[in-house]
Parts: sequence; structure tokens; C-alpha cells
Amino acid sequence: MDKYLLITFNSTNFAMQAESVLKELDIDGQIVPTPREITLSCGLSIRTSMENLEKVQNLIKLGKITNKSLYVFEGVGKDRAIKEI
Amino acid sequence: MKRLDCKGLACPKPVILTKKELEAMDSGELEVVVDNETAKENVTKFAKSQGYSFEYTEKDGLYYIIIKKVQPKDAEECPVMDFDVISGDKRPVILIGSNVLGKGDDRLGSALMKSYIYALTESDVMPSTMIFINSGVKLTTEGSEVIDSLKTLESQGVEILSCGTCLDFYGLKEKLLIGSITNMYTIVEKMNNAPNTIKL
Repeated sequence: MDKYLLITFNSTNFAMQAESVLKELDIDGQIVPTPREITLSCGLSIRTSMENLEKVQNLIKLGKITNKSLYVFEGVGKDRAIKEI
Repeated sequence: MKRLDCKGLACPKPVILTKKELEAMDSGELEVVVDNETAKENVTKFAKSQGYSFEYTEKDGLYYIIIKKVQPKDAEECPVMDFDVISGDKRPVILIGSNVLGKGDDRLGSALMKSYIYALTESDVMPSTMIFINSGVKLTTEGSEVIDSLKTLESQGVEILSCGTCLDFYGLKEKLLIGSITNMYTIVEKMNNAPNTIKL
């Protein structure tokens, strides 16, 4: 039901940069803390809807977004499934 | 009269024992003996918060507090108590005094605030109220980037309040997107009645 895409980064600056790139292109992207399952460090990630997968992958290919990984989150709370793509 | 000896007990023991004892009583007087001023303050503050009348005397470094529990005869005699006190609401009040989180770079501060409010939506413990003051009102008005998170919080019973003076100052009064407008008296009341206020 609750399925979304999470983009993680190697640095806070890359996350903030990606946020403005998405904003300029009118693609929804929400700054969220990186879930503890992925990293224990205090990091920022971007959450966006699944429908933006292609657009995001394209931006990564073009070098507009410098990310670390891309995850698909499904469900909420402890039972949620996390899959790296 | 019942007597409760709380000499030598560490905080918050005297208050907890007093509460238990008073709850077990239908009506009548309870004498609580404590041996330090902090404990006396805490016990009397508790009695006051519950609407009980009390008096105390000090003798040889000991405080003798007499709390009167009266069974209200009708609604009129029932003291006006704060809802939070009756329900034992443990939820904190969060005061957001800026549109950015922390001091330093504002771009980072803005990202951190988004991250914080999003994380709050996933927290097990929700605040009872979130109060937005000064540039914090930029988060509850048009152009806010955390409005979705705030809507989630509101749907989970969090009261969202924006300072009217601040909305007016920033010319945002007509642009409020969520919650209601409040004034300083309500802000003071909310914070003073909260078990804990977190200021950001």
C-alpha cells in the first residue's frame, strides 16, 4: 500500500543539491532522515513516489543527482520491506 | 488523619506516594512529612494541580503538609482542572521558534527541519501541541515544505498553533494552511500546563 522510493547520499550537500534539482523539475521529493536500517549515521535522504523512478534514474545517469543508493520501501513500521535497486 | 512519612525519600518518590495515597482516599485529610524544601514544593505543587487545598508547617527542618481531599457535592464545587492534568497527558508541547533547525547554515537548517518534522510523524510519542512562533510560522503557511508532514501530525491528534502576531508581522495571516491562530496567553498556558516543553 505505502510504497515509495528513497534516494540516499554520501553527503548532506548532495542531498540538498538533489532536493533543489527535483524542485526545479517539479518532481516531488521530500527530505527525510535516513532510516536506521540503512545507516546509523545522521543522514538526509529524499523520499519520492514510485512513479518518479525513471525520472530519478535518468537524473542520476545524467549526473544531475549524485546519490549513493536507491531503495524501494514498502509498508510502514517494523514490518516494512526495504529493497535496494 | 492519615500520615505519610516521606523523610529521606528521593525525588520523585514523595509525589508518587502522595498521589497514590490521595487516590486511595475518598475524602479527608492527609499529612505528608518531608525533609527538604524541594520535596515540599513538589508535593504542594502536585496538590495544587489536582485542585486539593493544602497547608504546611515547618518544624525542625521537617515540613508537615496537610492536604485536604474534598468530595465535590455538585459540579459547581468541582474545581476547574486542566484537561492535561486530569488525563495525565504525558505528551510534550513542541515550540518551534524558527523555520530552520539549529544555528548555522540556513540551507542545512531548512533541510534539518524537514527531516525533523518528517521523523516526528513516525514517532511513537506524539506531541499534544506544536506551537510555531517567529519565522516558525513560515512552516504552517503557503510555501511551507513540511505541510504534508504537519497534516499527518494533525490527523494523529496533534494540535497545530501559529502565533498571530508573527503571522501578522510576516504578512502571512491570510496564508495559513494548517491549524489555528493563537496568542501569547494561550502559548504561555499550553507550555505551563505541559509536562515537558521542547523548544526548537
